[in-house]
Amino acid sequence: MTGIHITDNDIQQFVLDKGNCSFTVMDHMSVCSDCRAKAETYTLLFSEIKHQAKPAFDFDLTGLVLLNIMQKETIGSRTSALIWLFTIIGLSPLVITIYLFGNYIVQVLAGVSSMTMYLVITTSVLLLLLQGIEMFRKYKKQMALLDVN
Amino acid sequence: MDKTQIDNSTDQYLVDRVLRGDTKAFEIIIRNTKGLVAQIVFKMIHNPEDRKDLAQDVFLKAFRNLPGFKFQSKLSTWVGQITYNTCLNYLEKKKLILIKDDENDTHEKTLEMINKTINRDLINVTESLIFKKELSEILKFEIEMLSPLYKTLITLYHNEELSYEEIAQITELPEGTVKNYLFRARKVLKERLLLKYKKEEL
Repeated sequence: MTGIHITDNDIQQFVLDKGNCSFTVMDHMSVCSDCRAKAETYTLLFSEIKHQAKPAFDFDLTGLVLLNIMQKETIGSRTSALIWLFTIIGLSPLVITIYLFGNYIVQVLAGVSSMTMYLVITTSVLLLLLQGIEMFRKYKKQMALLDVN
Repeated sequence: MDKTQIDNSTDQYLVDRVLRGDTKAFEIIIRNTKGLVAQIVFKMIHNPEDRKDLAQDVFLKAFRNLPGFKFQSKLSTWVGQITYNTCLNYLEKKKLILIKDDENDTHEKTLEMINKTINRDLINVTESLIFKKELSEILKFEIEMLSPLYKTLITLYHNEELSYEEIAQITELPEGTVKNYLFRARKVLKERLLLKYKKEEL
């Protein structure tokens, strides 16, 4: 036994990976019964931890997850079908109007000066853009609240 | 072909199949990784109901984010990372502590348990077997008494036999920090076991 012992970390390293221990550690371990005893304790401890029973879920995790995924996929496809339906319903009055009164609209627009036309178009685009940004901001905020990760 | 290459090609194959809409392939991924997920969830989360919700949440997140998986680690390590982060967020929301400051203090209940169960000499083989069983029980209890991070690291390294690198990827901690925490966690465990228990009896 020597007067100065090696550190606890060195002892753990000795037990886990003798090959990467320094000569000093190996040398000390060969002569120090106290440190060898500590190493034996660690060996027993590691072996016991290794043999601890592994936990398992007491419910059908795979079944539940797959069910959840399938439900979400069904909801997703229903949602996209609904989006298409509402888009068609929403656009149909516009299409019908253009179809029925197309010629009249062209005549009205032809009478408007190009300056006024640009002003109307710019204002409309700007309003749509602002509304879109606001909707996206709200969506991100709601998703952040919902997402656990 | 070494094990890592086999793992990578299996991961690639499974991910490709899932991305092409094959839910059976995702079932295989769940089956392959639910052991690791259980280890992390059981070590970090105490409440059984929350464990159930979080475990499902982990795989739903994995499914949702699978198109973004870059194969920079094993698929199981990636799922482990999602599990660890999900549990970490849960602990943060509940304001629970990941590492206790008083990690070196031994729990009173443990001391009583050790006193009751091991305070005698080992005489014969039968007693030796009983001792082994008791040691295992005490160790299980002591591991449970560790802070969530320590018990997760101990379990991943010694029970799941993951490398320091894999644990570092899962916990997103530097490898040196993982090693350091593991050294401390093992020392705490050893000291707690030895507190009332003479070295010779171990």
